[in-house]
Amino acid sequence: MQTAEHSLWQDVNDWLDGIAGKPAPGTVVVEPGSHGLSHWTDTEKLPTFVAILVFAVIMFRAQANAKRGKEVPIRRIAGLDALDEAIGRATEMGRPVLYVPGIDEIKEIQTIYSMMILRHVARKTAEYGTELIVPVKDSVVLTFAEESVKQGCLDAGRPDAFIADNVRYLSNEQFAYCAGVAGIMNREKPAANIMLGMFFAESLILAETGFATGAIQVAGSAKQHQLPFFVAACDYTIIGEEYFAVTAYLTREPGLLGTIRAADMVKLVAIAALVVGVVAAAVCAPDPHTLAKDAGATFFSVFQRLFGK
Amino acid sequence: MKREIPILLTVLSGLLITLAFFTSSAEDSPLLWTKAVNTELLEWAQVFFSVAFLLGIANLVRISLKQISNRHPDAPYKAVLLVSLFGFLAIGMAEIHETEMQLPFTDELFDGGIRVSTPAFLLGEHSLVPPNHITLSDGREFDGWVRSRDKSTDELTILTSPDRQEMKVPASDVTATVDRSLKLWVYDRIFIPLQATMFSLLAFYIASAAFRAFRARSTEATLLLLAGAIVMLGQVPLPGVLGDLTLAWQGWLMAFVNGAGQRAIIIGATLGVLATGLRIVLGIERSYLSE
Repeated sequence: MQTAEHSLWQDVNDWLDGIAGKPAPGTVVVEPGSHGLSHWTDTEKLPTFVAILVFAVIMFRAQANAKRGKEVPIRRIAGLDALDEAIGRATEMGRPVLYVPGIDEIKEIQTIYSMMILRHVARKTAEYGTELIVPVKDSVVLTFAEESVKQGCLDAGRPDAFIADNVRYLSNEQFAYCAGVAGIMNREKPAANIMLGMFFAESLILAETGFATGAIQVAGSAKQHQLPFFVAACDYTIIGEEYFAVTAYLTREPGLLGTIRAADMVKLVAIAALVVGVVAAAVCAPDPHTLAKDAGATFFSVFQRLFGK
Repeated sequence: MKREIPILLTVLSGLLITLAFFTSSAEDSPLLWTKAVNTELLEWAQVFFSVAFLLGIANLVRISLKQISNRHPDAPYKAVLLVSLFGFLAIGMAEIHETEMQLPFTDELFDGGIRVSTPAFLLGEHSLVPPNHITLSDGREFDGWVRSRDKSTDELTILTSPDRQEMKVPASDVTATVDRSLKLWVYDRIFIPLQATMFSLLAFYIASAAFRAFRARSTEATLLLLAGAIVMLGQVPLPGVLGDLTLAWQGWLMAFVNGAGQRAIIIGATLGVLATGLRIVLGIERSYLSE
């Protein structure tokens, strides 16, 4: 039976202490040599592991539901609709499409995802008979980009549309690459610039140079620090999680749609956790001197341990 | 098997590295080997990336040579690119060769700086190789090139700059040299200024982008204009109450409005990264591989 001095949240707090290897008050000290969970795993990262597991379960469940035919609506995203529009515009004007996959290495998830989008763009340009230029900054990204463009042309049934010289390695240096891309924009005058991936300081230079050449520009990144420049200088910007919805939006593949739904569901959980946390922080007002006795403060402490770090 | 083997490698290495992240660092942890495997895999990746660098150079040279031979309008730029590429490579290779010959004694000799013994053929009458800055134990400092070391007397033969007088100095008297190789000279005097030039274009591009973006065409654009104006004014040291007000508003905007927006984007993007990463590591997403 729980007393006022020992609430449910105090029990949870003690349990978390046990997982972390700290003995709960009044319990026998664990002797050296006997091993708990902390011997196997880094207990500080346990909430992260649990969160990943929960997300994975939700994601696979949502994918299965989508494959069974459950409809997954996605709101209209102007930037993603504009991708096809940009390629169509380039086709009408008889000018190439420039695709910049960002400047980070292949180990960055955004770059890998950019290669997936590149395959779709390559398929579209091959279907329309439009030239596609892909300048890259990293040698490993070069091989992935070549493969993506080649596969895109194959998907369109146009293997002859693949031009190896249009996938170009420029430089490993940030501003040398930026200068090279700006040079391509000024000399080859693409009608559409698609910049999707990880960008840093060169983002505004690329966007402004593209604007000066009169190209329609669609840019996007999952990182927030360069988005303001893209918003100011480009016609369409794909922001944050919209970036990872590109392939699902364009292909409407059930597995991918399920992934988007899972992410949205977890976002709802995150919003709920935020609201609860804000209320707990405001109302419970944890006082370290009364932590052991105050149920509200203990609840906040538990909440902080689970979601705070 | 052409697709299955890469997928298998991806899944195994992804799961192993993920496991290493969550493994305890305790010395007697039974899963500690995952951290060692993780470190080894990352080192292998560094080697692969370095080798892949050659692929990029090959692509660059192939396309440039093709455009030069076809008399493409960009041919002059490609020629400059190739001359720069191979010229700098040659400079670096020449100095590496000489440095390797001298490394055993330079490492014993000096306390700080990077030592380079300049090849004799680069020290002609009109040499462009910048001299090293040499400091002796008695406080004397001068510029010169380290020509050679006499192991029997443990003396360095130094060619001073700019008078090009030879002097012999006991090796123990030399306390420090500062490397001023041709390679670094090209890097410091050509590459760094070019990089700074490109970076400085941002200032002008920010002004032109702001001029286009900060127009009150709609409600959102008006809010953007007002917020931008307040933040910019907050950066300026205005006197009196106006300065305090703009600083306070700027602080509030950046901490709460901007901060909240950024965190929202980070949360959404992180979930997207997590979903995509899970799909790739578990081998579900394969569109980045060839078929």
